[in-house]
Amino acid sequence: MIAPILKGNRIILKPIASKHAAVRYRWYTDPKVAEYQDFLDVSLKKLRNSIIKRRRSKDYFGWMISIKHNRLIGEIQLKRINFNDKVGELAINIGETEFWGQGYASEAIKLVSKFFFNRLKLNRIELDVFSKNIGAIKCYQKCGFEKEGVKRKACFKNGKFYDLILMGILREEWQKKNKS
Amino acid sequence: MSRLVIKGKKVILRPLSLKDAGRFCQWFSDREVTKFLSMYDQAPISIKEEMEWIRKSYRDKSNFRLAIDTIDGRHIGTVSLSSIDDFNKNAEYGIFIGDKRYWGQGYGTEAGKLIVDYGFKKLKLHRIYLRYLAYNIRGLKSYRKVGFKSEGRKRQHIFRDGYWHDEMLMGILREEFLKNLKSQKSNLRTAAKK
Repeated sequence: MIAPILKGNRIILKPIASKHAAVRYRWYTDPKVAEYQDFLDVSLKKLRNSIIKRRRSKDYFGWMISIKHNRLIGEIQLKRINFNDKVGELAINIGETEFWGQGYASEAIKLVSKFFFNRLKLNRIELDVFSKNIGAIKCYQKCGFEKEGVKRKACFKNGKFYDLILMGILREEWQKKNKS
Repeated sequence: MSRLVIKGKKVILRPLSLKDAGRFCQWFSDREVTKFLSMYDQAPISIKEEMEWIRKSYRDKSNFRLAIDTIDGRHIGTVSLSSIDDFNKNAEYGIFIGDKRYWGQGYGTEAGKLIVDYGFKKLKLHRIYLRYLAYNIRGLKSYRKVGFKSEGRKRQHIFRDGYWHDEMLMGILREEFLKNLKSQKSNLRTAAKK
């Protein structure tokens, strides 16, 4: 579905569109970014087509993360949303590496979580993260995600198999955390 | 793949047949069976739809499904390796025994061992995983016997009958499987020596 605009203190989340394919493609093919992500077989055409498809499907919301002067620094998505079980999967990528480690990811995650729990009234957000992506794991934990398991040797990258850490946050936990 | 048959001591795994459609429809309309499957709340399927699904499955390269027959030829369920990921070399294990008379007697466990063996030896997978609903204790016992190890718990993942249920995750790795094989072989040798 086409996502609504969400405003934060330093960031604005705007719906992903096919016009963003070029910048996303640049991020996905940047080895520093790709190292911690699961991007396979990516092409400009595939990115454009996938967004057109996703904007039509009910189980998806995607945003570009922009900071002042409309500078695009990353993307954040809610995928595979199941309205029966009230679950969705989160995926985030800060593609502009100079903006790593400055809290932009947590800010985006908090905005999207609020949308998910308050507006969509759903119950659980889950995600997979590479076990060696310590920075991301800490960020998710700060946002309230709990470690729930390890998909051992689930991902093949650069000739080796890596574990994926499974994390999740429930509505009741998020509400408790955001009471103040 | 359409001629593949795997023989065990209690079960024979064989390709799905259109003749199985009627039985599938029967099993899928039994809530005691679907309680443990992902299709619990779905509308009942017609035999025609089921046959179409079976036909489609023959062409599906990313999902490998076999019917489970007892040694005397009675069709009792299905076992599968799905979402076969050729790049990451993993797949999801799935099983159901639709004929409740054959629950809890080792048929599922043997079918599991046979297909996991096939997955590692013939499909050259590195990881096979499975998901089950937390209340499926019978399933858990079987999966452990097949060699799966607990890996995680997705809390409140499924909503059914008015309650949230956790979905459990298990996995088995190629190196674990090969090690199990090795120790089984040496146990046999030791037993033979005695």
